[in-house]
Amino acid sequence: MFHCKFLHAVMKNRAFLLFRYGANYMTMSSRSVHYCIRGSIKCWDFHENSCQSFHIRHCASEAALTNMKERVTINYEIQIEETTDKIYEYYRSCNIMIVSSGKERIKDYVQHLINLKLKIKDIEQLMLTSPKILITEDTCTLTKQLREYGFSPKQLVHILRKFPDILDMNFETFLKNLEIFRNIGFSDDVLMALVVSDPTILLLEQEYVIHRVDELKKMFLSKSVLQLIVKSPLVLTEDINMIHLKYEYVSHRMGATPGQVIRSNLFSHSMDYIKCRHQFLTRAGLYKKITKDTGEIGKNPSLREMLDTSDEIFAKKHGKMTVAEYQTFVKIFEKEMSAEEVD
Amino acid sequence: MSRTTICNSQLYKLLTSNKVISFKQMCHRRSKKKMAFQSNPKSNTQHALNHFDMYYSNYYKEVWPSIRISLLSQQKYCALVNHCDEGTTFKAESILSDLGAEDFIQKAGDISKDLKTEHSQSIETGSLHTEKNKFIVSDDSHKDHTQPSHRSDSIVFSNNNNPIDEKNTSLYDFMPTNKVYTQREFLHQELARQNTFEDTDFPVNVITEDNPRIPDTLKAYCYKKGNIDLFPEPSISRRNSKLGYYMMDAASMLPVIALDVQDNDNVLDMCSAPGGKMLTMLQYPHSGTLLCNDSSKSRLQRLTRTLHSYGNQKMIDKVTVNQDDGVTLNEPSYEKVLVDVPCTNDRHSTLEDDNNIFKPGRMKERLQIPALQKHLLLSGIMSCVPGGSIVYSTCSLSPGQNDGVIQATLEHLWKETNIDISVVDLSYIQTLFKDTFNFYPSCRFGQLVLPNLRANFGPMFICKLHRTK
Repeated sequence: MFHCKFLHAVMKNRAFLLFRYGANYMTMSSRSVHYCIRGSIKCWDFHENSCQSFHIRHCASEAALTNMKERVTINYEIQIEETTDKIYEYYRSCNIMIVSSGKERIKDYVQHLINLKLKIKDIEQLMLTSPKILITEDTCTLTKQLREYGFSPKQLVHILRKFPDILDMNFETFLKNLEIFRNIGFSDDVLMALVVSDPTILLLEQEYVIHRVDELKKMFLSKSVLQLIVKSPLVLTEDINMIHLKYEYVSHRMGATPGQVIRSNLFSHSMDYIKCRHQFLTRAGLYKKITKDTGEIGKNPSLREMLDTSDEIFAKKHGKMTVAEYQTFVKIFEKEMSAEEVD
Repeated sequence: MSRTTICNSQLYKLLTSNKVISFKQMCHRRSKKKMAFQSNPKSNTQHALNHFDMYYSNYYKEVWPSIRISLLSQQKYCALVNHCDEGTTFKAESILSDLGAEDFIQKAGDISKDLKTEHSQSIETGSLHTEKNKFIVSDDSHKDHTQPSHRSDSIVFSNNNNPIDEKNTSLYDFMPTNKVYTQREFLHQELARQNTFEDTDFPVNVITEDNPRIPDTLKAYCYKKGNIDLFPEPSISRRNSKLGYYMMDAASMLPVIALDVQDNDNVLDMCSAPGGKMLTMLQYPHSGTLLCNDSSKSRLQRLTRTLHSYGNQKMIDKVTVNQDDGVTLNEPSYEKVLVDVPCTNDRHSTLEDDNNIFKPGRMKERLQIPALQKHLLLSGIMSCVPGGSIVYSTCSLSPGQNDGVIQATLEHLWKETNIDISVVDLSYIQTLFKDTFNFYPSCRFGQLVLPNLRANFGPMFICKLHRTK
């Protein structure tokens, strides 16, 4: 009887629960409650039986509630301890200098990142893969600033994983670098997504970026250029000759239209990969170059279907072959290419 | 006068100005493109590919892209170990096994032995001898299992002599020509007819045989599926100046295995050159004779060179080389006949422009191929003694050259001669070599090895016939 009333109260008033748990951050929907105690984000689903049992177990009395609160806190601290130990042991086995700064420092950093709402698992993985996070002194301030700037915890993890050198950067330089791209015409949302997908673009200099964008504008429409950069940020860093080569191959050898090029992630793939996929289809008789003179209607698959599919789907869709067959073809093609180079 | 001078000067100005160029350009644009002029003449391989796309894609349907890509990619080879003497054999085998290749023939032999033991265990009597005798006579219970659609022995050919529409029966009626075909169109129609195979309800005897004998001396190495490495060129042995192994398409060994040469058989290889199949046959412990026939002198010279660089004296003595047109051979004096006929040679045609049968000028020659194949097979059957067997093989995917020729030959024999022929069920080949080759499941009379990227052997069609009378 009591828990039914309680459940009713929960549904009616969010503040009630918040008060009861003493949580410092909480969101609630009709089906679930996300609450946070000391940095850990947890979720309880209200599914018929489970929610009842949960309330029976944890909300029957005030005493049980305080008990539960304590248990969560203890569990939580144990988790942090375990993670810290694991990271410490790992670095000691690798003979990395961080060990000298002590366990406490690692614990502080973990705690800090948890406060920024990063998941413990992600933190552990990040610290194991890039010791830079622990070495840099500005880590705490910069991550906090990035988080305040608007990057979600997930995005922050992505950026740190892909490009740990960002920690060397001042927040002001970061903002300055972003300004370059904002001047080109990127909106804030797009720009943030771009930084998440390829954080290395932050290293580019203003003149270089403007020059590269101008070069690209010679090949595509201005509005397409932005689209192209978002789709494959590699166009900013790759050698311009290679970009020209790829574009020429696709438009002249394969007869693809600029529209197809924009819609596909052409420039994020290597030249050999593009050639291999094209040859595979040509030899299977599923791709023919269409010239304007003949007036044929092309049945060719689009560039997007050709390039932006996994090996398995590509082989299955074109000619009903298996991945193993496709991989054998890749080997044969590589061999042919190297033989051509020797000649 | 003054007016004319002005006109002239204006004309001069016009001529010297830019307009002269535009006039020139106009002249250039007006020139008509010559009809006979082709900016990009198609290569012979392109002709071949277009032909295959037109006819094979309808027949093989969804498998065709996989076959096409395999034909255009690097072919796989196997290395046939030469058994001229022990030292050479041992050395060759050690080289090949060090390279990571495995002996697929002996592997098939092991599977065959396992199958035999299973079979004998399942049949309590275990009398293989009586079993074999039963196979030679056409057995209805087995037939039902192998080819259900062609069981009834008394199927009468359906006559297509239906009365024509009544309107057109009179000879005096005027019949307007609806369509006039040029000679070229006729040729294309003929091509289309030859490249499609219509399954007629022709009664065929199908017999099953025991798995073929695979001797210990027959060894051939090839890499596993998906491995694209190549074998190094064989080196000459110092002891006897013979080569250790012969590289050939692994599928080319299947006709010889299907032929199942016994110890005292006299064997005829009708179109023998360049000698790969002959060399495979020489690896069998065999005391009969082997006649290698070919119509081309230069190709026979190549065969002789191969024979001398691989075979020991005993092998060389066994082989008789004969240059004759295969069609003229018709004396029944051989127990085993191998008819490896000339065909469109699909792999060669898609890759090489030289000596390509799909060269536009060789169209008539190409049209005669199925007829030639039929004649060769007929003379092969004639040369075989009753009770002997004939293996027909091609390296083409064309159903007209494979099942079509067999059907035409059987029909011919049934109508014109007293010779009785049964088709041997070769499904055991699929069981024995399923790890090495990729087979086409729905051939009517034989087995067809399809090229596949992981096992890029073939194409090779094999059909075994047994002459009963």
